[in-house]
Amino acid sequence: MDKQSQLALLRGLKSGTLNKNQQLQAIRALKSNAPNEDVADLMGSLAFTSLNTGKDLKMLVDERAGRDRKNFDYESGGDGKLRSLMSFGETQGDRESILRSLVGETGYIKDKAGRLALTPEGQKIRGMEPSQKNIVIEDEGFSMRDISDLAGI
Amino acid sequence: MAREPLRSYQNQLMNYGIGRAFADNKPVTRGQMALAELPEDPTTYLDNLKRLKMAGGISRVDELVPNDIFEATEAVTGAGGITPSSSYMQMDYGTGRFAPDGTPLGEPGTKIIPEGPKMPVPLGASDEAIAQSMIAKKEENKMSAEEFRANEAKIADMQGMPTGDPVETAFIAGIDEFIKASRGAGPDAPKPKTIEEYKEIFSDATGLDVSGAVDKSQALMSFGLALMQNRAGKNFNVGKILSAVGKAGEAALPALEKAKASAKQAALAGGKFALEMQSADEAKRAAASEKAMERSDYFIVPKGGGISGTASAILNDKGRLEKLSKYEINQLLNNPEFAKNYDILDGAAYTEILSEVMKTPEAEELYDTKTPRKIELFGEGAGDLFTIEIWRALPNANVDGKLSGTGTDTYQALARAARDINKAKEQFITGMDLAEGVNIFRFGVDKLDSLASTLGFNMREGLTPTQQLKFILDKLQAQNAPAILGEAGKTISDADRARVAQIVGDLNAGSTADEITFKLNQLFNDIIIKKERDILNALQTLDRYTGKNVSGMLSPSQELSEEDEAERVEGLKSLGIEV
Repeated sequence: MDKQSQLALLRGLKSGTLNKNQQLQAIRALKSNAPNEDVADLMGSLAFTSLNTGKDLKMLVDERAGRDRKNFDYESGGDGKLRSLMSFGETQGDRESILRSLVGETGYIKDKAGRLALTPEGQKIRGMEPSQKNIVIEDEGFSMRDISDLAGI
Repeated sequence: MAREPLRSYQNQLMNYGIGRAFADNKPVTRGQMALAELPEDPTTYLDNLKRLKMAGGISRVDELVPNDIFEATEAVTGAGGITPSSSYMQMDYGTGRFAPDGTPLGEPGTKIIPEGPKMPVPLGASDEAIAQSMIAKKEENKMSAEEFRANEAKIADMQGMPTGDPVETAFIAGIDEFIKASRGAGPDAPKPKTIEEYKEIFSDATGLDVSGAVDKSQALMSFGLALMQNRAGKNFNVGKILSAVGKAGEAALPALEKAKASAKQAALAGGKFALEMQSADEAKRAAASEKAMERSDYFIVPKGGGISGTASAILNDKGRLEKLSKYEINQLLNNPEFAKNYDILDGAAYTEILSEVMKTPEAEELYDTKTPRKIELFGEGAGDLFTIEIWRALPNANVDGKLSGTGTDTYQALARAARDINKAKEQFITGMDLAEGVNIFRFGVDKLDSLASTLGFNMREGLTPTQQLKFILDKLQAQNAPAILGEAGKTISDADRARVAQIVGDLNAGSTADEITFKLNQLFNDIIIKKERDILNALQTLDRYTGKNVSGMLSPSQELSEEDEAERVEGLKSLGIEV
């Protein structure tokens, strides 16, 4: 295999865009230093790795935004009082400190994008009906809470 | 002692089969000796005779008879370990029109091997004397040769006689050998008199058209013909077998030879670059290295059966398309084992070759050769880039349809479409991310502007956020989709356009954000997801005709076994890639 092909396969592997089958074929080809003709189909397939991921638009948007809907609830939001208290923090660190002081270390968690969320334990402390998911405090839908945010209530 | 050099020359000639056997036991001429002493040059008539001898064309009747005229011709041109400087189509016969001993050619149609020594140099003369005598003889011949040319051309014009052109002379000599092998060389056997008669014999025997001036390949083929007849014996009608096979090879000959020659040129360039890669000049080294490694399509076809065999290999899918650099071609063609078994054809000429091969009788038995059938990979209305042409296999022919061309252009176009679809996908992701949270409190005009900009639009001023989203969606209607989708836009068919128009058409000025995001999702599914599936289907179709398995590599349903999965994970870890 020539150097360009080796580089292309390594980059493909590091990009994380190859499917499992492509990854396996690429690893085998690199280990055995397979001749170019044996990796021609694999090399050709690298141009099409973005296709057929089986993900719909919502999943892709979530992926991009670092949302984990399996473990986090992005719709419900925290209670209005909690949000208004947290709004006194000027930075993300300040807001996290306020939250920690209210629900403790185990009462909150962050998703991949750093959004603060109440764990079931934290939900309980805030007097909410505990959910199986972590509830992201800043919800993403429009609600009356937006008005409370604006009003600083 | 003085005769030793002569004996040495004689022995050399004898080794090449020239001398006693070829000149009917007459003494070897000094001109022949002089020529035999020269480095092997594939450009002379004499050389071809040598090759014919070496290929067993005169006496080795027990040898296997070549399959066709092309194989026979190759047996002659490649005989005896003489490596022609290039393919026989590139040979240059030179401009002189002399018999090997320096004598101007005599009566048209007569043998050019002289009956006896013409140069009055006594046996036992020194090498210097022989050389001086030859120079004098050549000078003397220069004048007479010019007169001879003028006369001969005049006569030939009037009578259709052979002109004495070296190519024509070689052609005649080959046919003479063929005639001799076919019917013996008895005194009663009449000889053809005109070049047209020679051509007729050649054409009858091989089925090849020799209208117009005799060319180099036909001259060489005449020796191949003689070789075949010699091996087959005089009671066997080689011509009858050849006429059918020859037609097939002839049809593909020009394109095939052109493609072979082009590959050889690439190999030569590869050799040159390899040398330049050793240059002391770093810039030159780098440039040569880059050029040597540039890859193009080449078709590797197994040899066997000469050109007709190559055509047959193409018809029966025995060839293989490879991306090769000039450096690699040079390496391959310099590998004797490879060069013996395979031909390399320039992939760019493949479509032309195939088109010519489809005109052969062999092709007619397997394919509908009237006209290739068009397959639109993305349905009616999509661009020509995505239309392939297939030669359909005849029922019961037991072969697959054959793609007209290599498919490389279509693979590349599909790759560009996939890349552009991915870009468009990113635009949708950005757009949806922006649109999802739209409301009067959270969705500023700047966000909509950035969405519009992402999709390549200039937003009209004075619109409310919802109106702006509506505007964006309007722009996504099919007539604009091709622009957004780039190359992938060319895959949009008339049916796609109608569907997209329908989705967007339901929106009105009062549409809510939820309605708009819903539509955006629908558009994504109808434009992006559908196009992705279309591209994968197109890849599968293309793979079917090219014999590749690009689409198979992309199948997410291809689950790995436990062992394979462990190997994958271990492999990634060993490369320092987080699993």
